[in-house]
Amino acid sequence: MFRYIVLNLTFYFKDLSKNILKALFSSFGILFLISFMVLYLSLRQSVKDYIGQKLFGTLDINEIVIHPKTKPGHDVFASKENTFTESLVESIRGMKEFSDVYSLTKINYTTRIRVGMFGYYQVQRVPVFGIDAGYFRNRNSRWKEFVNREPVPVIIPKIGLQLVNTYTAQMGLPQLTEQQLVGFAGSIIISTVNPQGKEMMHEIPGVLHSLSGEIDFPGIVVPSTFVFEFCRKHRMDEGYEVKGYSYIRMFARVKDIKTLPDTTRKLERMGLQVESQSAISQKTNKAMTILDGMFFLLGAVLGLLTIISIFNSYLVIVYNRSYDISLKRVIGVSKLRVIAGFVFEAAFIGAILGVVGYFAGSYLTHLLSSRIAEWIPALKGLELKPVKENLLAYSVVLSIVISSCSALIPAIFASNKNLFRTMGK
Amino acid sequence: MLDIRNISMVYGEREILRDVSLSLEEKSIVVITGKSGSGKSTLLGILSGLLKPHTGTVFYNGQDIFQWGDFKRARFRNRTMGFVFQFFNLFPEMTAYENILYPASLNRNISVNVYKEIEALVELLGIGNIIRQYPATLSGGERQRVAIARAVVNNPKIILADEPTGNLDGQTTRDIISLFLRLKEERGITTILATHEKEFVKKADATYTIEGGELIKQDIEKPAAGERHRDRKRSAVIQVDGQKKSGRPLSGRKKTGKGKPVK
Repeated sequence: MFRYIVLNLTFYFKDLSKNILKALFSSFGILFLISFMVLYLSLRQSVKDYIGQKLFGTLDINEIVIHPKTKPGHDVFASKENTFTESLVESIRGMKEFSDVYSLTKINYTTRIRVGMFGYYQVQRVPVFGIDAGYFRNRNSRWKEFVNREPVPVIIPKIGLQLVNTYTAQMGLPQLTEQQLVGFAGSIIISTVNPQGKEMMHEIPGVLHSLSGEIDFPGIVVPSTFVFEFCRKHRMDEGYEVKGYSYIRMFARVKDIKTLPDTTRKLERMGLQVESQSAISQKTNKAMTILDGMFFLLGAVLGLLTIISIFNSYLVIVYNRSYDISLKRVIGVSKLRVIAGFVFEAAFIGAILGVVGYFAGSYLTHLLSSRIAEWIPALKGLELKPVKENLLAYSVVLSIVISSCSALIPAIFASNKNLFRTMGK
Repeated sequence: MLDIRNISMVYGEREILRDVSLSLEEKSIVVITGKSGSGKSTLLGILSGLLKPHTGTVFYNGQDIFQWGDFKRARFRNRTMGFVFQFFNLFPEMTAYENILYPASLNRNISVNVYKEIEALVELLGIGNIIRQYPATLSGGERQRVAIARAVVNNPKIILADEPTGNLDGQTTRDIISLFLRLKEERGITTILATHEKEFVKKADATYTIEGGELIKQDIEKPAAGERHRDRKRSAVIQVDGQKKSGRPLSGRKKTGKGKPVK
């Protein structure tokens, strides 16, 4: 049996090697189909992540984000008008539907940070936000250290690392990693105006606590207790009482997920905007359905053209190999073996093209990723990443299936080739 | 061994074979003659199981081969039959050795002895010096020898040969005829030849001709040892392309009807 298998494989691969180039060219459409599929799936995943991450971090299924109502295009961080009133904040905190409520505050005074590195110092105006430490409970392993103390712990967005490294590159200084940046000392400078009208600069030492991917706005985040304490201490600085901070966002966790829709409606009746994972999912799903529909149509047309082209090519291949096939049938090759030979050849070619198509698609994804911000500025934050999970395997399997099925009918025609029938006629 | 019963074959409106019956004995050479297009190749195709007749069937050792599935018939062709064609029909992209080995490779029970068998065949057929060459570089005689080796490598019981010497010169034809005779004597192979070759007719154990779709047995008197060639011609019945060979009347011809033995 072993000898039988070895001999037949030898003859088979010798046959395949003679015809492989022709067969590869005949099935070239699969390459475009698979590349298109890889590119589309990467784009789809990236768009989905992009939409999902436009809020303050990734929400759990029972979490919601509450915004004050803003006019379209009105950035809540730029205006002091679109904020929560103190009473509204208290109302929300008092709602029994919620197990936890956290507020995001913003210091209304002029704020700056001073950072120094390798003897170089920089002072930069940045907004300063405050949030309750409990918000980071499931999001940051060192959340318990995020409390008001000296130096004040500061959390910055992950993009801060890139900004720092851009700066260090310009200054000819070494690039830093996230771990190296944690613990970095700086100071927060808050300007207030004293009752005499003189500007007062209050410099408070700070230390970098961590970098967070959930901060999607430009600014730094400190413990809310720091914000409340500072503003309370300096509330009379302008000669009259000022609060010094504004509530700009609230986060809440519902006790029972089933109450989420009713709670959302209740908040909306209070004149607020609510974002939840289900709301995000609905919007995302709507966008994805449109995207999927367009690409499915394109993919179907491309797939059909590929199948037809492979079918036609294999008909020509069968015609060209009529003599060989007829003779093999006479010598004792069964119809099933003829069919299996063609289908296996098509599957082999399909597998090769599936792998090549996957890598071509990944390369195109990488190319598009580097150019997309240039071509479509509105999609500047979109990061295209090739989808890795099992996509290579799926690409290979899909191209094997398409190739084999397209070659099946020509293979059946081939199996009916008969030397005696031809001679008799 | 092989029984053809009441075979009829029609292509379009043309009846190629009409109610043909034939019984083949072991270790014999059977020659089938007839005009071009008379149905000789069609009959061979039916015997091989590749062409299904419109009526009638073929029995091998009592089994109807057309009741078998395609796989079993293919295996039957591979293990029980060998084929030799007028135009040699070798695989052009395989060497002579690979052409001979190919039918053997289809046998699941292939043993290591197959290589020894091929060596023996190569020696028997005198093709040792061309075994690694491709068919395009071989002469007609060499190709036909390779084809015969391919037909015999699986030790078949039957060889079907369709005009095996049709493209060969006189001396090579005589060599091929000797080969078939040797295969009959040494290996007990039954050979069914569709041919116009007189020499085959002379050496055959039975001769038939296809005329008007019917298979007619020819009663050929074999020359006794030493008898003159002229006397032999008087009694021989040879159909060559449907025409009489000479002006002499065809004597000794007994038209027996549809393959029935002569009384």
